[in-house]
Amino acid sequence: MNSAGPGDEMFQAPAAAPGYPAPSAAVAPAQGGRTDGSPGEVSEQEPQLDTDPQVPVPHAEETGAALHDLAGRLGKVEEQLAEFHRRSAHRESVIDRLHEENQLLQGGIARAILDPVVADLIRLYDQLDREVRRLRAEGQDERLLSSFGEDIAQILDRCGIESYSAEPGDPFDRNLHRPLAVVACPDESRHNTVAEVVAVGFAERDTGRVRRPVQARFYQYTPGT
Amino acid sequence: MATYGIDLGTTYSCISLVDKTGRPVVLKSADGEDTTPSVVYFESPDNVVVGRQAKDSAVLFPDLVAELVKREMGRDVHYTFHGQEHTPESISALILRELARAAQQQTDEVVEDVVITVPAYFGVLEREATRKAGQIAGFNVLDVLAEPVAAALDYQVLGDSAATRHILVYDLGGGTFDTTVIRIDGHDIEAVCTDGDNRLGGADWDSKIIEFLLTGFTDQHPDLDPGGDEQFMQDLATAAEQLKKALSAMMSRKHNVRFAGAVAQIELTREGLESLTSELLERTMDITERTIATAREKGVQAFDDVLLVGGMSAMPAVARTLRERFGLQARLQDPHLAVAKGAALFALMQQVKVSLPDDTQSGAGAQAAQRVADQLGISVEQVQDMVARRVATVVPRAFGIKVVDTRDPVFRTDPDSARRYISHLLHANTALPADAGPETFRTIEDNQSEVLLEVWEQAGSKESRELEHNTHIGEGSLKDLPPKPAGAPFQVIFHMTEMGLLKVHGREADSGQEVRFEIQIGGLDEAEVRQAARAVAHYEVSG
Repeated sequence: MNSAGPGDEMFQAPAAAPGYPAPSAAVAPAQGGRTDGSPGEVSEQEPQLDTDPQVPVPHAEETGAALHDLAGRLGKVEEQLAEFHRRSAHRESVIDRLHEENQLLQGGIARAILDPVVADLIRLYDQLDREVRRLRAEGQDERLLSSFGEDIAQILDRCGIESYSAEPGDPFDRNLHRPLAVVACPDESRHNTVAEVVAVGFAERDTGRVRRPVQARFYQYTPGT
Repeated sequence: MATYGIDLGTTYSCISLVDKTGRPVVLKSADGEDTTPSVVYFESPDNVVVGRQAKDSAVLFPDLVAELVKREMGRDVHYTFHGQEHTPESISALILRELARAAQQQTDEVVEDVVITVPAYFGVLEREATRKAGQIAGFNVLDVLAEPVAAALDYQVLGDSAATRHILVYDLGGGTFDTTVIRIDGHDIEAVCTDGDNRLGGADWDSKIIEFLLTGFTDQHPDLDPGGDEQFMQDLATAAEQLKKALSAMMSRKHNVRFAGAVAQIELTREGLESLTSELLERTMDITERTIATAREKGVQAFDDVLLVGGMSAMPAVARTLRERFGLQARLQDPHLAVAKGAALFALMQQVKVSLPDDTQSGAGAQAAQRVADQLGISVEQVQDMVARRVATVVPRAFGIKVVDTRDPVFRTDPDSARRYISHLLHANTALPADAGPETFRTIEDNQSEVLLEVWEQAGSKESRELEHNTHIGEGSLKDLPPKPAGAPFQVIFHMTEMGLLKVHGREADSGQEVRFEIQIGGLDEAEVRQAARAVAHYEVSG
């Protein structure tokens, strides 16, 4: 394919149609009646040829040739018109499709812009949440940091993203969980269950699509541990 | 029926098609991404998961997850999951099936006709293995196409003039790097030479940045050791990738590294990043230099275009270093999707070729060409140009016969212990189909009645006569030779088809004795492909 992008011309004005034979250039036949100049009778229904005896009546051969030529030219016009319509229809269908895709794209653009921001907000939430848990574990006041985290969760909620979590003992679900590490465990019944949630998950409210799975450590059965 | 181009990558794969406006578009994965991780998780005996979830599952089920199988393509490697044996081809087939499934969700059309891309350094063995992976997935594989040629198609640099053009493709992806020189001669496209490192890629750049951030933090907080914290390290990996991307557009970026109540604000400048990773970039430039030198030996004095392919090639340092070191002006356009999109364009070319009569200039051919042109919104001339294009496949490696070195002093006393080496008949980069020979060899013993013709393929990156740098791939015997003194001549002829079938013909002129045998380069035979296709078809695949 060469460097000109395919379909580049699709928005050109269709009316231009260069090269079409101009109808005015066609040989015009005499109005009505027989035109071959033969001496046959003339019926009443047929209009009389208003011929000036001084003007020579075309000979049959000449008229026949002119008609033939005309028919040929008309045929070409019809052919080119049909081709023009065919190409126009194709252009129209392309425009329809582009329009449709454009509509979809507009929805997609909002998401394309929002996605990286959502990802960054989730990361920020994760870090705040981790600090909150650390402060809580050390017996310190975590309420200020926790309030910031809650605000971020609300911003995400306004973007249509909800958080969800998991409980220790929940079995691994690849749709909802992302294992970060394994924790050895002597109890076979706890094999591949959540040992500890490291970070909550986030999913789209409308579609349920998981944007970031719950990050967790999972038990792995190891006899004798 | 649409045709699809598939970039079957080592770490990520991608599927594309040419839409009805004639433009290549990438179809999203199940996760809504342009690419799908090339990772397969065998969740149960009947169910496999491909992509991000498979990658995540590797932590819990390392024995049930297959990844990086492209590196094993064509090799005699076997994996067993839930008692079912698999090969790199069958695992690749599962990745292909997931790509097709996700594509079908968007197009409402079953994926059938495909072109799959392979690195230019792939030998006939790996190319055929890739073709078979497509067949196992149930596709009609129109062709297997070299990645740099696909990229060149997407960049639309093949030109329509009769003049010969040369293009250098610099492809720095997530896990591999290669450079290739392509020649376009009229309608013929071929790879002149290729070089690379399949263990060098974006992941190495990320590692350097992660190390930089970690060191920056521990320098400020020597009493803390966050290196063992999985979530911290995962955050650092994400930050490294973001920093790398951001510094392609900005000159400087700050990042706050937090752990256990401590924080370190670390600034990384573009200059700093380039200095940090200069050794990696230098490695790619050394390989590029080698490629240019090889191309020069083959008569390529200048490049009409230099194309950057692979997400990592978007780093400004790449184009700048190519300019400063080699005087090359590189072009950058959609680097991480160029291969898949080019494959889709090539798939369309192949489909047009198959569907159109040979003569597209007159009669039914012209009408068919017009139909395709209308469908795609391109000119009839462009369709005719597509049909005429031919991408040559070359022998990427040398093939030869094992011979005894009669000049080795040991030969006189103990011929069995004398040095053996490979005498290559077919050399790397010969266009297929290729003929080599007749080459004359000689017997080593008096009255030798039989000669064993051992066929070997080059195994390393360079042609070498040493046995350890070659692989034994097949053999046949030339028997009932007439009694003659040692040194009696006989001839060997090689013929390799475009599909990698090597036909070997040995003959002894006086007696007319001859031997003919064929070696199909490409691991699985037809029965094995059918069997693997059945095994793969029974899986429920999801992403």
